[in-house]
Amino acid sequence: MGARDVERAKETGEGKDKVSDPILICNNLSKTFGERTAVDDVSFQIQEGEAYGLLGPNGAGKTTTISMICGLMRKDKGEVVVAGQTIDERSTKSKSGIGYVPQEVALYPDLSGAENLKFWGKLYGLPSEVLKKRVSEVLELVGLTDRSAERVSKYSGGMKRRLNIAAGLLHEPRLLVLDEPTVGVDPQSRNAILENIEKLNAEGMAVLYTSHYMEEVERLCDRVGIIDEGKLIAEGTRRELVEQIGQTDRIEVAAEGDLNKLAKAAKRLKDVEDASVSDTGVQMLAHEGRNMLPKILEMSEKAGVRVSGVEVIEPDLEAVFLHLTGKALRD
Amino acid sequence: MRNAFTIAAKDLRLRFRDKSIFILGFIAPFALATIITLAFGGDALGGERTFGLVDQDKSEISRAFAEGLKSRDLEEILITKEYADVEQVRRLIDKGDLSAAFVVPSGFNAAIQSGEKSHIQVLAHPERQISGEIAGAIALGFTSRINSTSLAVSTALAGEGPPSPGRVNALVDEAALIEPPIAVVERSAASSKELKPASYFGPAMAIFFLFFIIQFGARSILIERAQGTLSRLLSTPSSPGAIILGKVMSTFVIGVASLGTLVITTSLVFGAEFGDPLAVAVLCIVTVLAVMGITGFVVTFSKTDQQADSIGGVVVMALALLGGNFIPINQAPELFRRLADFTPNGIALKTFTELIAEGGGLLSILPALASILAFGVVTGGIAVFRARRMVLA
Repeated sequence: MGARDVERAKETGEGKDKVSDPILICNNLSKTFGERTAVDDVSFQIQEGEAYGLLGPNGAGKTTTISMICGLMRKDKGEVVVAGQTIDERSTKSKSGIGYVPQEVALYPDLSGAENLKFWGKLYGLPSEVLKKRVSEVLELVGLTDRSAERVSKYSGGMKRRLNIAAGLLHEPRLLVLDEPTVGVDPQSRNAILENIEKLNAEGMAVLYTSHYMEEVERLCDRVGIIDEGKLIAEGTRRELVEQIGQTDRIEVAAEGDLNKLAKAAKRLKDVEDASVSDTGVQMLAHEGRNMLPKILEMSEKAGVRVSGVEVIEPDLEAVFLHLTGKALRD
Repeated sequence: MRNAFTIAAKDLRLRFRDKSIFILGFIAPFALATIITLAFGGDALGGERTFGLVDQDKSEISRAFAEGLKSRDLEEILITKEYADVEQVRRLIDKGDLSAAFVVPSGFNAAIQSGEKSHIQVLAHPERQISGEIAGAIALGFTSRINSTSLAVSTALAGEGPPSPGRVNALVDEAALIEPPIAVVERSAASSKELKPASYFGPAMAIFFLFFIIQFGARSILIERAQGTLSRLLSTPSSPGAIILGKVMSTFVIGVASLGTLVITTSLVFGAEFGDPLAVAVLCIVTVLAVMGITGFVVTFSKTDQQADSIGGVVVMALALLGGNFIPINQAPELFRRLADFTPNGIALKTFTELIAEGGGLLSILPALASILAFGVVTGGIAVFRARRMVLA
């Protein structure tokens, strides 16, 4: 499945069932280290096949939240249910529903790629024939089949990251949890990793993705939870989050002709808050910018303006985060 | 349980790929044991020892002592040559031609007959401590026996009036023959085998390096935590207990393999003898468990791998010095000999030597095994408790 197919699948919901029962339920998760509250009463749910992004700066509580979800850490308070089964640090079999990809490259450098995968697969109790098949499949998925016999210590950073993800997929989990999987990765490998995740999500695997890279979360996730200082301060689709803060889209119309006439006409439209002439055409601030496009084109034609291009720039999550917390994501 | 085996198998594979295990577990202890063994000179490799005897007393009892030294029981272990001059014997010892020598002073017989304590002087080169110890044990055994016999004779003659010298001598000979000095010497002769340096320093070095090998295994939890694999292990259907058990199993296998290999190798190469194989095997296993407990204890009280390495190094050196891994503890001052009884390695080394000296089996060393195991159970129990908390930190 290529990137375009993935995009189409995301748009159409192909391979997903977004109205099914939640695959993950987190209720009132809390964790304190000494005097510091790392996670403070966090609750959210992820539906089957949904990609959910947990966005927040370093130290916001993303990894601690994920650690409690995966049963790596004791919760001070709260409950985690994955595929109908409660998860805590003593759980064993119920953890099989989760595929965890930690922030670090959690692999053994002195084992080969295939040996690493076989080891992790065995821990999930995969029978030897199934394990062999799954190792081959995930190696193919992450493009490491040719290098599978080499020790991981000889892999590049990007290859290690890809194998790190592969290790979380062996047992075909219903929920894939990725904790900042692209940290320190070159752009090419980063794109390959994101494509893999898009592909898996399009095929129906639910994804919980944490990052402080706004672009990644925007690209991958259906819904986003914004976490800061241990608290989930906002949640929803990107559009919903943007609407929460009441920001408008910016529409850049590249055009030639009577631009002032076009700007004046645009200002009269109900959803346009402002319009002005720029160096290359007319710039407008509007709600639901994409929906405005047919009207803008019609208006331009009436004003005798020849339009060469239109770009709708929606407010991003960075702006949302800045609005909610008063600080930038990378602070 | 299945996951514990999987984790143990993975750890073993990683350890064997990391060549340091061969250095720490086999090469280094064997090399050090060899060097120390060779440093003990003729005592180390040769089973034969030549002892000198200067008989200045020329009495029946001194002759009995000389005959005892040349008896069939002792001739397999030592050769005795008689000399007239003490100075000549000293020179021969200095040159290394003699391992040690006995000097029966004039008046030895008279001292016995008058009921006084009698002594046989032992001469030995300072660097040949083991030969000196053997000679000392033989002389002490003989004089103790003859002094007690003298006392028994004196008691037997009481009330008979003044005895004639001939009567006294006859009774002394008779009493000595009933319990000949050789009976004492036989025990010492057996001890001469135990005292082969390889028999001592083989296990001593193996136990010393065992601490490092096992410490590395115990530290692997900290290493896995630092590299992130511990989190991933916990995310799988593996309980913290299974993870710890896997580590314990792999560490145990490596520890027993290392100690066992060293014992076998020193036996094959240096002819070291260790006594009853079953008892030795159980002793090795129990020692490994005790070392695992102690190193696990140290590691679980450390926050980082580096801290565990540093603290562990200090603890190992202290235990090795107190337990007699570098210097035979029987040559140490009394205080150190007592302290060695409070270290598992000290008790283990003592038990290794006792197995040869006394020729006992598993039953005879049960108290020692229990003491060593107690170290392992107490420290290991705390370590396992803390390890569970550490895994889920």
